[in-house]
Amino acid sequence: MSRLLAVPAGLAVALLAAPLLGLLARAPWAALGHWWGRAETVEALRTSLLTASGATLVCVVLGVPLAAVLTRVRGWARRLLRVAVLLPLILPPVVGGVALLLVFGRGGLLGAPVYRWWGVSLPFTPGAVVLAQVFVGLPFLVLAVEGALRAADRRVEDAAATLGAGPWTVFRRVTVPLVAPGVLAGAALSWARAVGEFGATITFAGNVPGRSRTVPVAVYLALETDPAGAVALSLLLLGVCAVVLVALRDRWWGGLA
Amino acid sequence: MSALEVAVTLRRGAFRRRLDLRVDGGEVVALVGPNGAGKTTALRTLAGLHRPAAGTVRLGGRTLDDVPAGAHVPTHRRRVGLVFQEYLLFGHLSVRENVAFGPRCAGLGRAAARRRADEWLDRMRLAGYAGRRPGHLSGGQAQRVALARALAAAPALLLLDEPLAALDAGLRPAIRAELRAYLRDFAGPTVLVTHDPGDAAALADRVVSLDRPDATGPPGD
Repeated sequence: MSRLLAVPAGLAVALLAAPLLGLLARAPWAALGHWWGRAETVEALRTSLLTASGATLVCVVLGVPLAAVLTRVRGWARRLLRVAVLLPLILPPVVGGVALLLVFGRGGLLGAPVYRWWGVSLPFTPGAVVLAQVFVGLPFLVLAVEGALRAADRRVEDAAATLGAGPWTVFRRVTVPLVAPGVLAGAALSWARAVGEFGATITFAGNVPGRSRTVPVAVYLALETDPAGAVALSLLLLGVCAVVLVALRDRWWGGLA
Repeated sequence: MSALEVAVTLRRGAFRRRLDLRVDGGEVVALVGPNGAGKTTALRTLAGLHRPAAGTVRLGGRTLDDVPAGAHVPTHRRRVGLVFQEYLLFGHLSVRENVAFGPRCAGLGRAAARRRADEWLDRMRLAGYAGRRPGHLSGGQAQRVALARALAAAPALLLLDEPLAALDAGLRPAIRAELRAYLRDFAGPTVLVTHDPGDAAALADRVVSLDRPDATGPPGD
């Protein structure tokens, strides 16, 4: 039995690890400093980190209340909300980008009147990158927080009330710490998803250096002209994600383990 | 004037049952009955977590519930301590902070609340566990922390839901004797709920039997 499992399990590990090993094998180690020090690289990294962090903040602010609502509604409203939350997970990001363009683009359903009245247009701005990242990252946060809310024994809130805690004290001192691991785990997941976002970003936000050119977009562009540069940028992205997620592991991943 | 006077119709979903009860200060009354008799509903109603369908609850002359008059004192203003069957300690707080929770809610500063908590932990032989998280306690220790946490909030009424049910059978006799000693020190009325007649006889001054009410139950007031 265990030998039967070992073969496909070993294959799965190989499948996951081989591409990473390939990346390390072909890395231009001697020239990494040169690639990472370039102004374009620093700019793309800055754009990536700022937009992904902004998107994570938006996900938390909007996603936690949505998760709380999801645990309370019943019937068709609940099914409808679930579909809305899960759709971005299964939708190809490029399709998400096209959809965002149709709504928020300069000629879009909402974008056109906004542009006409205020002269503001979202595409090709950091705001567009954030919006694309929120679109793909929000489901991760909502699902993690909803899971934490459902798993938590809400009767500890009753216990707090019997000890004299009013509703606000209960929320602040009991409910929030109760679901905090879930919120942090969900934030880590949506941040990771946002940093890696490519399809919706390049479709909706384009590729403007310093504004919407994130590291994944820069990797894709470099691959056409300079494969070594693409590998160097990929390693940078891999390293940043690994450092952030490992550094926050103990505090952030408790809700998933 | 510290007696508990209960004359209510309990309600939980479609469930209804009549409960008339008087418990004096310092007296321990056990509600005994099978599952479905409404024992836990009775405690949750006294704690203000459920509203009764009809009737009144008074405690030491204070009105906690008066359905005809539309009065209902919310749980956090009742000064009713409830020790839950599963204890429901705050997992993210240390044992000391768990016990200090009630005094903090009553308006004590952090340091004063901790001193109050330490007094209770001393009294209940828990001083060595003050810095621990509840997840690292044995069943008997967790039960004493839950009791200390409830008593530290200075309740006017103490409620215990199946206080011994979550413990290993081997531990129960010793913890039962200990619990009886703590209950004897409490000046207010105590109502405890159990399905075990032995526990009831050992812990309580008086036993009140709750049978399973018929489907409709007696009409309310």
